[in-house]
Amino acid sequence: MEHDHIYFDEILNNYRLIFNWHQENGLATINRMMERESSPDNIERYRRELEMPKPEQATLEEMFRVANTVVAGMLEWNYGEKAGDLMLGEIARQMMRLYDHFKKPENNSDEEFRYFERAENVYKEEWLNNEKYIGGRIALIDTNWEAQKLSDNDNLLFREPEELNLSRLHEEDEETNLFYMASNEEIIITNITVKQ
Amino acid sequence: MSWTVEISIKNTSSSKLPCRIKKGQVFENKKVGTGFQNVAAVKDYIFDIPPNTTHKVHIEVLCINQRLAAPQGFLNVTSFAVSKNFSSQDELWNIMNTINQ
Repeated sequence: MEHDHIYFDEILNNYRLIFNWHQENGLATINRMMERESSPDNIERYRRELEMPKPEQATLEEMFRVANTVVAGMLEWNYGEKAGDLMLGEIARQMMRLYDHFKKPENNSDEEFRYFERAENVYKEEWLNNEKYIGGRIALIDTNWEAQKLSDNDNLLFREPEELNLSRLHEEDEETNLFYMASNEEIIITNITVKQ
Repeated sequence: MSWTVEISIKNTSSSKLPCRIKKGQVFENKKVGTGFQNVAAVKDYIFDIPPNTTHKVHIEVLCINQRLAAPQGFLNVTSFAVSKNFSSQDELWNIMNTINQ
């Protein structure tokens, strides 16, 4: 997918924080484990974890494995230590959430795959430019899919936005609207994320 | 439960730019089939983007797709807004669960 690199880069940035922290503090952690009389096996296993791949060489799967180890594994020793504003455990959990982006499509049923394939074609005229962070097509597809599941009709219907309680913004009325300013390149959106 | 959308906006011009996000403005996932809800702004936001800077704004939003999972990750701002007024999550879901014939 064209925007996968955004998720990958974010995972990589988080991974770099975990990697750098352990490069700087791994030895101190081993000393702490020895002080607490951790078993030689545990210390050896932790030492092996410190040989995690360098960020510039790590694959997505390797980064995910390290994140898992921070949350529930040998690197959990330092779960509560901070790298910047966040604890290593929080950083690892964020990585795992981002990794879900790559796993999620595998969870779609055959029915969903067929629907999404057709819907992307039906709604291809709707906005979708991930580089500019502007769209409309995905919200329309997701909302129509919900409407499809709610209705008794087995035939796939591809509804107009108005039927789904979505109205189009009008450029003449909305010249200062964020969407149009971005599509007209008056501004550049560099990131949009949602948080609780 | 409300959510917050954080938007980073770069203004490369030498003058401040007024910007508006209307109530109901929809923000969407960046791909189909994620299983995560799309979201809509809970009120109007009007702000200026200072010249030659990257400005961050935080928008309170509610979810629009009741049957999908809690929102997460990266979003796009869309060309759509919710067409009816709403004042709570339940009210918004009720609107979105109604099909206009």
